[in-house]
Amino acid sequence: MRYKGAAAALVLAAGMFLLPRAGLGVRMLNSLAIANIFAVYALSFDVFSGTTLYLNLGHTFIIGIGAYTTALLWRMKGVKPYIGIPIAGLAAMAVGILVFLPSLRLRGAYFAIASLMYPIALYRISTVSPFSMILGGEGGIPVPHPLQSYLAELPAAEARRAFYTTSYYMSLLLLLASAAAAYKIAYSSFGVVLRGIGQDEELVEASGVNTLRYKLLAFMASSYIAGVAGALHVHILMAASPEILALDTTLIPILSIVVLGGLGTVIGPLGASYITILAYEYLWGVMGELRSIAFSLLLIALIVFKPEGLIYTLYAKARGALGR
Amino acid sequence: MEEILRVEGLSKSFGGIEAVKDVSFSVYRGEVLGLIGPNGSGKTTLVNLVTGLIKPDSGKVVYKGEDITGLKPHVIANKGIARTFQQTKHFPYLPTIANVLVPSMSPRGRRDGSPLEKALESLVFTGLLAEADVPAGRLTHYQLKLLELARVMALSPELVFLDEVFGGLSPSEIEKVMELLEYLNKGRGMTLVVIEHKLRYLMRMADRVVVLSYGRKIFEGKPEEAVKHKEVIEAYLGRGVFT
Amino acid sequence: MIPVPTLFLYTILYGFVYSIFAVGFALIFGVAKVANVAHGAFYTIAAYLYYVLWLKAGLSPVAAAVACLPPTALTGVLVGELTIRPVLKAPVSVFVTTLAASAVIEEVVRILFSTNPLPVPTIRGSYSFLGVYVPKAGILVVALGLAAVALLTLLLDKTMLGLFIRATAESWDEVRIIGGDPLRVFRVSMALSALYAGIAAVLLSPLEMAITPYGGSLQLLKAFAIVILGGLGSIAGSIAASFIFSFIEQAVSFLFMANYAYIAPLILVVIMLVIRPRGLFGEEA
Repeated sequence: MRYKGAAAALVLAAGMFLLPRAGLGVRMLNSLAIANIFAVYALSFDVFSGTTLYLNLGHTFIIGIGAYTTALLWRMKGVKPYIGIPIAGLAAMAVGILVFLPSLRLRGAYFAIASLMYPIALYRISTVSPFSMILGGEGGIPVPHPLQSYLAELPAAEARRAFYTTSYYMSLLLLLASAAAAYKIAYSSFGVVLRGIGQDEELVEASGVNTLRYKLLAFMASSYIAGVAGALHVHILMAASPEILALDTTLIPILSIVVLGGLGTVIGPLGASYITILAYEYLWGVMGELRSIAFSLLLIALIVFKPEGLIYTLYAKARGALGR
Repeated sequence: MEEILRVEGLSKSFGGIEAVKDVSFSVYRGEVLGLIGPNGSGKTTLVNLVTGLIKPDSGKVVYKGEDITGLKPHVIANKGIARTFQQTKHFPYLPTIANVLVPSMSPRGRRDGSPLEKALESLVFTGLLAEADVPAGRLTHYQLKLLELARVMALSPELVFLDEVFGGLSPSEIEKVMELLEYLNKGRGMTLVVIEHKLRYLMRMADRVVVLSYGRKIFEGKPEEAVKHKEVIEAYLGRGVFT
Repeated sequence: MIPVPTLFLYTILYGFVYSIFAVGFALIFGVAKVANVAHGAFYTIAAYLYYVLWLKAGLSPVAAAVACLPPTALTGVLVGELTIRPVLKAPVSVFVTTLAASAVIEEVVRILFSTNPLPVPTIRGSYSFLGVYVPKAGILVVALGLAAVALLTLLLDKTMLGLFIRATAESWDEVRIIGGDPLRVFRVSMALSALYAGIAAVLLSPLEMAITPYGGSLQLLKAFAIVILGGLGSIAGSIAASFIFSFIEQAVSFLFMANYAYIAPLILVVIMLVIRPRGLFGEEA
């Protein structure tokens, strides 16, 4: 059973690596790269919120810290992306702990309300002077592609395709690494405690387990992954703008992916992200502005009509956690 | 007799109602102490106060000579005080084995052996091994009571508060639970504080009893004396003491 | 030099509007123990209905104000039925469903009216009072605001419905025992809650002299800040916090610039979350 799962994962990964050779257009490659990034956003959200059910609506704040860290490092100190991106992860983790640690003591709904304050506050701050001067306002901070110097040496005709192909591969590598890490966390005995917190935190405490410690560790892992993904995202987009903090462009797609993939499954987002992002791109052509309405309605319907399905997945995965 | 726990002048009120009022008593190592009283007499509040779920307004809790008043529940659990809940608690979407894995993952649970082994062992002793894979939400009421005890075992405590473990069980089920409790007490050396509002089963197992009424302690002593005690009888009057 | 009386006047005006809006949010939080993220959308709907009825359909401002409230309350009930009640047992899901509902309403408004602010005329004229010019619109806000808060307090304290609402906030099971239907209480509370968001919109729009599709979200954001500042779950705390919030907002906009008025209270709340997460008046967790 275990080997089958591992084999399936390997085949899937190999398939994903070969995708760009399948004659896909650059637009499609770009969409897939974005889908990879959103899958990382969603699974980093899920590894903390999906297990503990502390809904971190401020996840885009963490992503934003990662995004702006690498952008500012580049703009002010000329730090190269391959150094800036890991630092961005650490910064997201550090800032995340600093601002979220106090509210991690709040329960359930309070935590969610409190967490939503951070991205909205940062969004507003980023568009108001003098902060907008530093953070680039609505337009954001221009940043280079991570492989800028390599791309610059290619002939123009090849460079365009290489830009999207390399973006895809980098995002894919990040996705596979994050998925492995998140899987390891959620499907271990550590993950059992996290899920226990989501189902009855008082009982976990009474069982002699310091829940704050577990929540904090899971939150740190979630933040680091989200920060790195945010940083890579802006380098692929070549600009760090406040859009990355926004509810409609980032938070709602993340929540859709998580709900579609199954809250708490952590690996669910992998497939769900491709479906969601491709549908999102496709629907733009078909419905234009109506697509975000369609998405929101779909999200409501999924949660209202399929709640037991998600919980069932949660159970099935917990079984996997015990090595069966 | 060695004192394992001492409660001194513990008081707690909720919105002006005194749930526990100036209660003092001691628990001695190895004994089975019955904590009894009619419904609403403050038994569960007392357990919540000792195990850190709520903080007392005044008074203190001394465990093995150490003041543990107001410590966090997980800290108290790791010092060796376990409890069960009147409304049985469990993680409904986690398999039974994972329910027991949580206490065996605690620092205290890890002390002897791997968490998974410990969890399996607890399931074997409580007869839940066959249900290891089943989500706890699908267990029967009786099995949930056993799960509470399996969780207690996984923590390897020295002192256990059992809040109405017989509630809602059939006589034959009660017999089985009592056997298990006897094993925990005699075989594993755990000191038990058994909370009940019904006296019948308690009389058989308790070495001593403490009786609460309206949040106050009205009696402490031998069970057979308790049933002759005037105030105890008054407190229970019309409530079906011996049913 | 800060014009102190004017500063206090505006603190009170906005404090009232924020209280009315936040009280509606707190009502649902109390009754159903969930945070309704779509509360801001009720504000937006009322503001645009008011605009259409008054400035497009040609009703008098008062008639338009009265007419826009029932549909707003109805929207409240609908949002409650479609996105809150089915997932009532999972407060986490309520966040996602109401956030999505709010996004739908905002998008519809945006498509119908574009994102550009629409101008709303203010009620002209002002009185001179102790050397302060008090705009007539402001007097209206204070008078109606006071009436709205007083009515809700009376409703909760003195009527049978209020009794049921308070009982539902305690325990749904107990309401059933005393012969009430908690779901009906929930529906009525949704209507009331949306109604109060609507009243806030009607009072604030002429004062702000413009409406935008994001007006409701902004109010909700402020309400979140207020609820956190005042202590989670404390209605009196929320009302006190509304005035504190409004004071900081006004003081900052007088001292520095209006742009900072948005941010200063948010930063304060973030600091508050870091040093005292249970809020000024909140009970210990």
